[in-house]
Amino acid sequence: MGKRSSIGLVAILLIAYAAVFVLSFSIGRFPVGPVELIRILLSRILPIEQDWTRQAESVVLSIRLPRILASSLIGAGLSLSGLIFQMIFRNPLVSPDVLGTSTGAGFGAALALLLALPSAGIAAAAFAMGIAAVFLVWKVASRIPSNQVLGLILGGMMISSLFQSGTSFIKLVADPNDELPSITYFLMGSLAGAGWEELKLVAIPTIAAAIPMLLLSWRMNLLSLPEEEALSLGVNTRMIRAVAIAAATAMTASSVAAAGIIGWVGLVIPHITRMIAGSDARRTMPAAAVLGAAFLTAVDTVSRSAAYSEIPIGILTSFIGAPFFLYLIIREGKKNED
Amino acid sequence: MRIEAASISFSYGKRRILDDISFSADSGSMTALLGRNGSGKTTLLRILLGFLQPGKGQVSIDGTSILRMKERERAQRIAYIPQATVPVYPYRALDAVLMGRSPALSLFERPGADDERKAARALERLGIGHLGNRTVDTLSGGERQLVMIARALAQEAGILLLDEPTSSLDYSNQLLVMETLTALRDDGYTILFSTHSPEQALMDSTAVIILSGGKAAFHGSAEELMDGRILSDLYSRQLFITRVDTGKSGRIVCIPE
Repeated sequence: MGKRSSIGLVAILLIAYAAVFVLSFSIGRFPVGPVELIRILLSRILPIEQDWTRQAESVVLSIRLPRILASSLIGAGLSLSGLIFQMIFRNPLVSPDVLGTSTGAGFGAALALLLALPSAGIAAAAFAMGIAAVFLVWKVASRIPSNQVLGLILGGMMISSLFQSGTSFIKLVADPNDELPSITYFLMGSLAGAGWEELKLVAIPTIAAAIPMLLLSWRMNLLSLPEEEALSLGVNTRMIRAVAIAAATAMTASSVAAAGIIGWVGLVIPHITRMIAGSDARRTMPAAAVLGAAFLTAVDTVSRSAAYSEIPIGILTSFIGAPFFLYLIIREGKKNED
Repeated sequence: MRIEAASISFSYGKRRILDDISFSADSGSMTALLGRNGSGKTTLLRILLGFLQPGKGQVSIDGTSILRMKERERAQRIAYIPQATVPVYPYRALDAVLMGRSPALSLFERPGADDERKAARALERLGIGHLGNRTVDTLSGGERQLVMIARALAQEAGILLLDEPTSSLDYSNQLLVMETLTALRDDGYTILFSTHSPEQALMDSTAVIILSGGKAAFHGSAEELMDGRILSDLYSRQLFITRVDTGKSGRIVCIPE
């Protein structure tokens, strides 16, 4: 597939994303029609006469816009982060959740909440603990060179559980009237509180990490080869892997800092992306980002409008992701049988 | 291009794997590396590729030590062709070959039209141009191995190092890969390959190195091994080696007692 069809694919996905974007705006307890919506959005940059209520404007600009932008960036960041982890660990079953990055980041964020740190502190703590988790899992897996797939997954399980216990301990010592509920609700994963402040928290690290990674996408192909092949092709694997792990962790950690743990996106979306776009990271990386943005925005729309009270989005993504993971494990097992 | 190993020694902890190995290979030559399991063949290849640093001695290409080269510079001179396995992510054959252009590109650079042309030409040269759009997992073992060789050609390195290039292939694919390598040798590549087949080593190589107990037990032409004495010692079996007339150049067979 040449350059042209690659651009075509991303264009189709972008159109799908645009549809989700517009739809998500109009759905909700306060319905806004698509024409009205576009007029409100454009009124910020074009001189359009106001014929809508102030309420509609405030719903669109202060509530839905930051939330939809946040869900888009978090979806894009999580799926890109999963795709990057799957490439550098040469293992299609890993993701920020499996590698313990999310639970590590969750622990960091909970710790920061307990210490009443400002939002930048939450992001920094989430990043530091996320990196620590990946590093530990990687160390465990490299001790089992004969079966790295198993090593990464079991190591991830163990390290995740360790960080989860840490988080439980934080909950135990947290003030039950004030800190505990906020930590608990936060870790459930929800975009209910996503405003412009939270958007900034996720946007800056995600964009800063995604741009260099998208520029490196062709090099990422080489990193998914066995180590010695990549070295023989003149790739500085150590440097690129370190940069890629830092970037993937930054995207996961910033999403955790802004909206808590939203699981499974980083596993499911990269797989669906490879099904439609093949293996070449020049195609899969931009495609996964757009698909992730559309997916999470769609799921978040369901989470805020399906039931009388909001369903935390992390619960919904788990309902989708866990059965998908089982399907993947069974499929991998069958493949190895051949 | 000339690759030269000068008094290479290497140990894992206290265990000596390679002891004072020296040899050189020039353009248009094909050197076979024979030796029993654990004789240090793979270790020697890894040292030649710069993956491992020898305890003593040095490897140089056209007179320059490989340790003084950057990764990219080394990759422009020496290409590694591993045993073709089914990759975790099945790239299209053309994209897999395109990866050979990596040493010619800077970190953020992507392959352009010129690189695509070079990759396509490498596939065509090996007679598998029609496979370019297939993903690697749908190819046969032999075709996959040819894709790996095409990648090395796209790399435009003068020296090709192969680690048991035919070990997992059926017989006809073994012949195909070896014929491809002899054609490349005749085109002026410097080829070095490890193998477990004495017949392959005797048939196609201009030189043979036998590793035994960490030392180069033999280094010379295939002709000198035809009496079977040295190979019989190596494999602890009486071996009879003979040339069978097959019309063209004939084939060499190795028959155990």
